[in-house]
Amino acid sequence: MKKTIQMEELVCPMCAQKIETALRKADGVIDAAVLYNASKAKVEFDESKITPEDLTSIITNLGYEVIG
Amino acid sequence: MKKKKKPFIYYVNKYAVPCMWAAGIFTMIAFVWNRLGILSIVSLILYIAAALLAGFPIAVRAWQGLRYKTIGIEMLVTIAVTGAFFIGELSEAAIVTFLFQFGSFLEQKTMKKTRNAIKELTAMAPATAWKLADGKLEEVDVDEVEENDLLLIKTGSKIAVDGIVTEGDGYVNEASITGESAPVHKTAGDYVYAGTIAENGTLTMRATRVGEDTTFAKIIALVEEAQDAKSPVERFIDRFARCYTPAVVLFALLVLIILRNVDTAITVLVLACPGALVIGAPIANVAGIGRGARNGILLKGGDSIHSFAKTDTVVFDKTGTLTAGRPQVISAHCFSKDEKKLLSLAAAMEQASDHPLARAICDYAVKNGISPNTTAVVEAIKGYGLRAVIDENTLLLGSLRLMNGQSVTISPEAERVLKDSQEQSSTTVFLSVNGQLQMLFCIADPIREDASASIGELRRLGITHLVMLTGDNPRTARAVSDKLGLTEFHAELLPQDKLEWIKQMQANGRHITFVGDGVNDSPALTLADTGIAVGSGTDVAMESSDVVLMKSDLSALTDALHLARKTRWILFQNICIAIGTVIFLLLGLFAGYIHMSVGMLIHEASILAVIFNAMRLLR
Repeated sequence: MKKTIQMEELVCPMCAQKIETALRKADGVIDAAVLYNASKAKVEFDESKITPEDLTSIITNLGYEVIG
Repeated sequence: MKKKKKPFIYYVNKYAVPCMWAAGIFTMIAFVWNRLGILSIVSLILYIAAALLAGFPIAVRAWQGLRYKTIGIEMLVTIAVTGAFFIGELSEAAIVTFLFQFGSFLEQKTMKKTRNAIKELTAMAPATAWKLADGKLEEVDVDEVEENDLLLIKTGSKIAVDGIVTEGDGYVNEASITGESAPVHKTAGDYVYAGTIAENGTLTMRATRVGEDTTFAKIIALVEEAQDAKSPVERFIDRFARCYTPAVVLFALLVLIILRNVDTAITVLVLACPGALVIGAPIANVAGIGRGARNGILLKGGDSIHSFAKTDTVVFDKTGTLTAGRPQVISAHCFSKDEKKLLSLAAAMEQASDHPLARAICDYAVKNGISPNTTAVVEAIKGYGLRAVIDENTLLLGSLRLMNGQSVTISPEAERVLKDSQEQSSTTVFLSVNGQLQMLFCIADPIREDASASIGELRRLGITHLVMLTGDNPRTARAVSDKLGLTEFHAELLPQDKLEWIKQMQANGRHITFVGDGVNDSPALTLADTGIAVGSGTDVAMESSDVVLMKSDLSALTDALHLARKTRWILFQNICIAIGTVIFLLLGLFAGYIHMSVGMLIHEASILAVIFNAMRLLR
């Protein structure tokens, strides 16, 4: 399953890298890409292993707000 | 919804800006107090408080970065400030942390502005639609609209999805798609796009593409991807920055060991921050792409911008790019009095056919206010034309060969028109009634109005080779090429021949831009260094090209080239600013002129300089 997560405005390229690495490391995530300028995370994941809510909490735990 | 406890870092980020302001005020008071020369302990406490308030969020981010195995700018600043604390440079620590946070704050504000071009587009997305079902009209959320739904478009409203007009008549402003603000006339059978605005008239439409499949949604997705697509230069800078920051730490250590001077060592850490270098190149691309998107020019990333800016050869596909792509009646000559009646007869005969020449004649009849009301029994004479009997009159409509075969006399006047027409490489269609030649149509695929001016502009922009490749016959090709002043043309080409020509020009070291209508030239679009699809939002065109021009207008091509070159120039300036600043600061440091706080000030100023420089692209 694929999901696009809109985050608050990302301001440092490092933030994007951090979020991307954290999402990729999560079990059940097949692929993740963070669009820095659009402040969006595009995640492809196995829904039997991880839920969209888990993905959102990975991002919020890093200190970034998820908008939608 | 269950309310989750927000993580600690959330609060750190949330209160970072107020903390920064407080730190700024504390630093200022401390500075003034210090001048008074009384109770210096007060200013010391204020400096410490300021450094902690502004420095804590930086330290937290540095620590977080370390967990993901990256040494970022925050880490450099944290080490430097900690060092400053140890050698008792409290005022420096406070000023540096404040400046760093204040710089990031301004950076955030200005970055937002730069990215806004695309945000403005997203904001144009419509929210609801008026759905017609079972004779009832209902306002629904745009996500609920499905393919084949019938929708009503009211005057002044935004069109919700892509679709085909089924009824009505009106003018639609397509600026959000094409960047062209002159309204376009729409009537039954015309395609309308989501995000465009019905300026007047009421239309009924059938939805054909909804949700993420609409042209509008695809443009936004494409632009978002493009803004993050990295060019080789940027990838290099990224790699460089990744090794650069640890290298700076090592360098500072070296300075510490050799010079035995903590002050100089920590100043090195602050001065060598790669901020402007990391931001300078991407921000130029983001601004350039955003600017383009606003004007219907989709640049698919830094790579596309740079290869396009370097182009010296523009190769055009003829049909649909330099010409309208749809044959039209250029002139009609009537040899009897009742032209209207004859035209209506011709249209009646042609209306069943989908041959391009037949369509041209029907279009011409419609343009002259004639709708054929008789349905004729038409017999096709393959390769020659048509024969029909209407009201006991035998009509022939077709080529010269058809007329000759049926021994219709061609008058001297008609001969003259025929000769002119052949010279202009247009096709001639004859109409005879009962063996008498009555009317003659000259049909050609006309050169687009803007083609000539745009070719001239390209030449002025220093494009030395303007080439046309076409499957059409050499005579037509020559006529078009001469009229437009192209440097080269090759005719009677099969699609694979076009690829061969492009390969050959590339082998000669040329930077090729191929311009096509994106309908059936995707291999050429992909092969060329830069592929440009004009006036097309088709999936294939969007995928195989590097630049998409939404407006089917060649002037967009020169605008795009201007933009690409300007973006590249600004990117170059930004890299110069960034590298220049670092060199200047390091030289100043070892010459003994620059301290940590001044260094931080100049460093933050250089970051803002590259952002503001990029913002020039948005104007």
